[in-house]
Amino acid sequence: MKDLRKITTLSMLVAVAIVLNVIEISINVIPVPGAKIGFANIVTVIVLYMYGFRSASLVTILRVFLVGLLSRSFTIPFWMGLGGAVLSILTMGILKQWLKIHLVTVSVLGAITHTLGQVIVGMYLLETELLILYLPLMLLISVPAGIFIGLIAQRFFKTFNPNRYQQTL
Amino acid sequence: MKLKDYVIIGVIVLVISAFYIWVTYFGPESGSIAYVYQDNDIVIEVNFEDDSYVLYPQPVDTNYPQQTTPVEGEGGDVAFIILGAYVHDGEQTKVYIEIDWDKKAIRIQKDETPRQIGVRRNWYDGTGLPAISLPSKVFIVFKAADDDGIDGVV
Repeated sequence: MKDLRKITTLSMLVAVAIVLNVIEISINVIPVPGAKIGFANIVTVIVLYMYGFRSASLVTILRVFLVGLLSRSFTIPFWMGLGGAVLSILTMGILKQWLKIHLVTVSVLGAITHTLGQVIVGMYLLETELLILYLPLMLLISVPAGIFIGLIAQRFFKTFNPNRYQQTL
Repeated sequence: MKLKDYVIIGVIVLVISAFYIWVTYFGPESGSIAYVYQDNDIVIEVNFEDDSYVLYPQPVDTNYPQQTTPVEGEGGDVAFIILGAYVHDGEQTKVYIEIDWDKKAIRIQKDETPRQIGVRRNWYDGTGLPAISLPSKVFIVFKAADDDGIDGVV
């Protein structure tokens, strides 16, 4: 019964993450080609603190592939998104486990590594260092984005799951 | 949040700001020759010193690049069509490149990728953020006339 509840919750969170991802693609808020702030990371951070690293990885990778399927686009931006998501979740998982830092700080470092992952994959696929010119601007945007995402996730726990909220501090 | 969290975020902001300043003020030097790359092959070479260009047939279809008409009223003097890497409805999509001799600038005027994800189409004169179309694997690099390095962007 407990597993069923978890699976249902995770499925709903994947759906929320997909919607956030699709909205973000369509509004294209930053002037860097192919790059996203990563609003869908709100869900990743929430799942990471609710269910742990394995569930957060599963939700994140599912979300990236399902958005790729929905948009029928498995081109460079898709692989950049996947690279960013994988590096970000790995970083956040390690930081949460081994460094006792605040959820917002974990989120900021997740946003930064999300950006780094995107640029590294983009540079590899395009076979040019050109994308590194976009990196400083992307990183500068990542910090407030990470803070914003972290604060929303924290607010979520404060409102819906006060026990977990204590673990985020 | 504790003090160490503020310190971590503060240090990150400082490092990123230093990186931003370094790239902005000490980044790649612009040149007078623009190279348009598609899938890492040079397909168009534009020399803004003598307003000339050289077209290199694309390996995927030697009929491209093709010359076309620039969009009226937007400054473009010469325009070309190249084939991008993105396949839509079984066909490789086209990418439209325009050159403005007066501004000494070049741009990706449009490409045929459906949602324009990963496309930056502004006029590019070698400074600022470069023109690029990720789905089409097209990007533009400026180099000095005597620079024989191909990937020496940074």
